[in-house]
Amino acid sequence: MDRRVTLKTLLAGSIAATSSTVDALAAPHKTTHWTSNFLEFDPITRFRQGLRVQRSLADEADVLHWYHFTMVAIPVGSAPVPVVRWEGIELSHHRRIGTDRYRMHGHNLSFPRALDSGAFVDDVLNPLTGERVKVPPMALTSDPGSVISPSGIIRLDAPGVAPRPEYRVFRREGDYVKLDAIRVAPAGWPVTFIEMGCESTPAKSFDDSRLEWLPAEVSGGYVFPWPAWMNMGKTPGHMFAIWRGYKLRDIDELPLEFRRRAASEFPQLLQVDRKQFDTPIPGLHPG
Amino acid sequence: MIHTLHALFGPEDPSRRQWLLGAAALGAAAATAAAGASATAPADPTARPAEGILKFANARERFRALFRFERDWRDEGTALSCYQFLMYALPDGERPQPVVRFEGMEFSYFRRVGDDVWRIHAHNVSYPRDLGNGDFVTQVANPFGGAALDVVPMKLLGDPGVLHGPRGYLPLDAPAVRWLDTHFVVRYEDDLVKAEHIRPTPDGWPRQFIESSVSSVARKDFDDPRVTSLRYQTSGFYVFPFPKWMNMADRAGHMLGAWSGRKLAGPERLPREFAARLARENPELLRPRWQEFDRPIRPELAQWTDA
Repeated sequence: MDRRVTLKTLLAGSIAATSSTVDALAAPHKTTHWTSNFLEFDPITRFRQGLRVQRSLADEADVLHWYHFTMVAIPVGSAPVPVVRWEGIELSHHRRIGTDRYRMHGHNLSFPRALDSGAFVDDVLNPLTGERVKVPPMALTSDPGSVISPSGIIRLDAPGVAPRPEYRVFRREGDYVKLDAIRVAPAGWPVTFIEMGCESTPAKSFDDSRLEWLPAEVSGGYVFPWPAWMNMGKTPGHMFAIWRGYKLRDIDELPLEFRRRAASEFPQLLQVDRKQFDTPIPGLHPG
Repeated sequence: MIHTLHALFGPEDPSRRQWLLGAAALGAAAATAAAGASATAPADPTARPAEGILKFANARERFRALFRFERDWRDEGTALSCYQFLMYALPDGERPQPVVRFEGMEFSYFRRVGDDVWRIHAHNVSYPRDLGNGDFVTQVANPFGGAALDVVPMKLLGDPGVLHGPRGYLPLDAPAVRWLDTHFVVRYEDDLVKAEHIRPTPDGWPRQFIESSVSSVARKDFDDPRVTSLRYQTSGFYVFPFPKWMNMADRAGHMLGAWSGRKLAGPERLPREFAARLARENPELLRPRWQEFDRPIRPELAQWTDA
């Protein structure tokens, strides 16, 4: 499935749900309320449904998300201000290691772009200090990996720690199923961190239990401390980023400009280093 | 084979520019046209880029794109969106925590008062729901300890109204004529068109406030000038001070709300449970409050001109 097909699948839900706006203009309003109800699942079903939307139920799979996101600076007691746009990917691989238990490794790669024009940039104006600051590409490659299961998530830099439960709530909204998810930071991370997202998949695909991989549009945000390149020193405050993108089938679906730059500067990040899976996990918590 | 980004930041496509100008002109006509009126097809839609940021010729064109997303090109109209959002508390130096889910709507109603200036009034209603199971609630656990928090429905009925035109927004309670500019970017993504909007914070509002959204529509609707109101899917967030019911006293920090929603054809399309509660508790809020337009605009603000 290429990205156009993914989009068409997602749009099919949108168009069917709203009907064509032109058609709607021509026709009298129907008294048809939008469906909006919460879906209740037992923990195992919730986990498996989450995997279909967020990753894949396959025993082994690459999972690729592509997105644009805007970073906003939030100083204490002052007005928040947008700083820079990014285009990026999260590419990960998972392998089933037990019943409803998966090990995964991955990384992120993002390139900064100008807020308005969208052109690639390597410096931006810090709107809080008035200083032009260098913004390097973000290549997040130090993730230790994790093990996920219905009980939650175990990060592999602390494999003996009990899994942290993850928040996942499903809603059926018209021709879509939406998944609200919250990821709380593990112990030891900066306190000013949280990540939240909402993933949306066509209900028709969701209801087809044969499908292990569901197309998804993703939106979300995360709160994090000042990055070093902002040069904020000890100024209190933090950053917030909001993203919007898709789960894609593979790197062949990536926008060409992004892919070219990634292939030129970080070719190794267009695939997941499978060697990480060869490293044993001593003392893995059984949960 | 996917469309690529090669057109994204490349030379501007003259046929696209021509089409956009045509679309704007057609839009003005379509705003007053009867539903189903015939429209001229845009010039060669396939000539436009598959992906990229749209370059507007001028502030008027940019405004009309924004207004079509958020409202409607018609001289008089309504726009209704509904959404669910999760609220988070972010006290300084502590782990951010989710607090409560809300389901709500924003209902706006507007009239054209100048060539490209509309007067807008609106109200919002949101009901708190349980984070876990989505039930309507009146209390939620305090994630920072202490007694449960009494959380009440949010009914925002005091909006003073605003003028919106190519120069930006002018709140009708503004102390002086100062149009507020806005960050607005439109991006093509294959069969979708996305609008990114960071709204300005009016004078007198809490300093620690920002609201930003990304709304998407089918490209075929965006490309069709007969569509005067774009029915978007949207997600976004806003940052705001601790509400009173959080009992945070003078602790430093703020709240964050992250939403996902859509524009609807009208109140009859509101989610059933939400609509039933609103019909029971405040049926008048299921209709536009046109009486808001009876209040005169202060003379010093009423001297708008197009950009």
